[in-house]
Amino acid sequence: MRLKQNRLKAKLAEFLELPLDTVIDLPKIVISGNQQVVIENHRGVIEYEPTIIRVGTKLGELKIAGAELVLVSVLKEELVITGKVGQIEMVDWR
Amino acid sequence: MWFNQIISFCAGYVEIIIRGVHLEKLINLLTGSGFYLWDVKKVAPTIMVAKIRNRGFVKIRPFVKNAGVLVKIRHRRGWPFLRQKIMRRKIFWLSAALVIGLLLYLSNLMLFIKVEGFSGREREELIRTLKNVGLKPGSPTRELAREKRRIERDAIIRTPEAVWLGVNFKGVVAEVKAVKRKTPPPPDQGCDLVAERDGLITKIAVIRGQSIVSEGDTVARGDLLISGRVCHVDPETGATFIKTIPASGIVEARVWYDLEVIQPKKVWRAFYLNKANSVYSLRWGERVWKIWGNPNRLKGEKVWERFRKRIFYGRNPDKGVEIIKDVWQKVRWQKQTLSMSVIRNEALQEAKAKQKYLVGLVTGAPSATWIDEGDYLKLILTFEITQDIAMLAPIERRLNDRSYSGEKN
Repeated sequence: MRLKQNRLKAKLAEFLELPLDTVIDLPKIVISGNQQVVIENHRGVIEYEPTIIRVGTKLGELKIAGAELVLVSVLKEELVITGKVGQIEMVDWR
Repeated sequence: MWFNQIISFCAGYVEIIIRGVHLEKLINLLTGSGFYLWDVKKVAPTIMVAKIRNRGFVKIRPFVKNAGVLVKIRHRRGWPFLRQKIMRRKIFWLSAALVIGLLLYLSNLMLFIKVEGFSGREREELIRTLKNVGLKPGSPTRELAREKRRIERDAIIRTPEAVWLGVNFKGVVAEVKAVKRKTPPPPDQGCDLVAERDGLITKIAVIRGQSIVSEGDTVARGDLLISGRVCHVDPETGATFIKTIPASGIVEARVWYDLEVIQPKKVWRAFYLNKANSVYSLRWGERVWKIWGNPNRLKGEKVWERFRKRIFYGRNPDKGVEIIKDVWQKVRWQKQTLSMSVIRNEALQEAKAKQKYLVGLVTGAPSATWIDEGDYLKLILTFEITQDIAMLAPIERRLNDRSYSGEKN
């Protein structure tokens, strides 16, 4: 049922030329070089270590590996990570 | 992010240490409930440091219990804590207020004198002269700026070595710029010393040349005082020859100066017919705005007086901001004959004002002569002054000068 709703919303967004992240809460990831990652519409921090951060999203898990990783800002909707980002992996994305 | 941090500083925030196994659970619980966390750093596998706002911190207890972690405050930061901390320090505030007050007071004073153009003994002498005319460290800059012209004039009169002198006030420093008088080099050719004016010689000191007059002699203007022509006898041949040298010396004499003052017996005086009508306006540079009052209400003859109150002193005295008060008053002009005592008083006052420009040492009281000249009263004050009357005069010119009647010998 929810899947159908999402499909409908996606088609409507496509028709109205609206961004998908605002209509169906898709995660939005903004990477600035290898120094900052901003994740919008996340679903919480699964694991946090200075070398690895795993963040839950609607579509699956996002794994950020690197060094000296810091959660600069943690909000319900937005997460800002800074440090030396080496790898970003999408684990089990639907 | 910066905006959030500024708000956090204003509202106050705490830096907390979180200890436990489920650190991520606490983060998720807090952010899910709308709390804002920032600068979250993991310092050890079970220890994490984070910052949270003051108001949020008091509400996190149930979430901490739920996550099974321990939370401890590491630092309290932000304006509310800072304010509490500094408000307790009364002595600090008192001394800060005192220091600021002292700084404000000191910034209104002139503390240093910087002299350009003069050095060594002349500089010291100039600074002493400036102190005598009122420019001394510790005086209020505003008053000095108001009397700038007077100080410059008095200082230049008392400093014969300077040909020009200017004073500028920059903060607490008075910058005095002086241009030295370039005295001509001593003459190579011979010259005499002659009398600058009529007088009775009281003292004579010859440095070079031959004295022609002696103490007690009366001389007229142009009379030879010290001659630059000296007779030399050759010891070998015994021949006499005249050598011309630049004469030098001091010839002090009693001289007399007449100071003349004329006072009218009849003057026009204004009789005020109504109350003063004041008009206030604001001047900023060249622009003038009227604030209050109407000058055109009065008809007929009127007198006008202007008072100024400076609000802002700029670098340029013409570009400052000031409030101007113009006072208009209706008058009737009437010719009035003054009494003799009033005329005499006014004449004496004017003579006293002129007296300070006399050069030399005034000896004794002046003799006054009153002359009635119809509508005017003339006062002649004769001052006896002791001064150096010696003046250089070239020998050649004097010998060729037809007006010269001859030398004293």
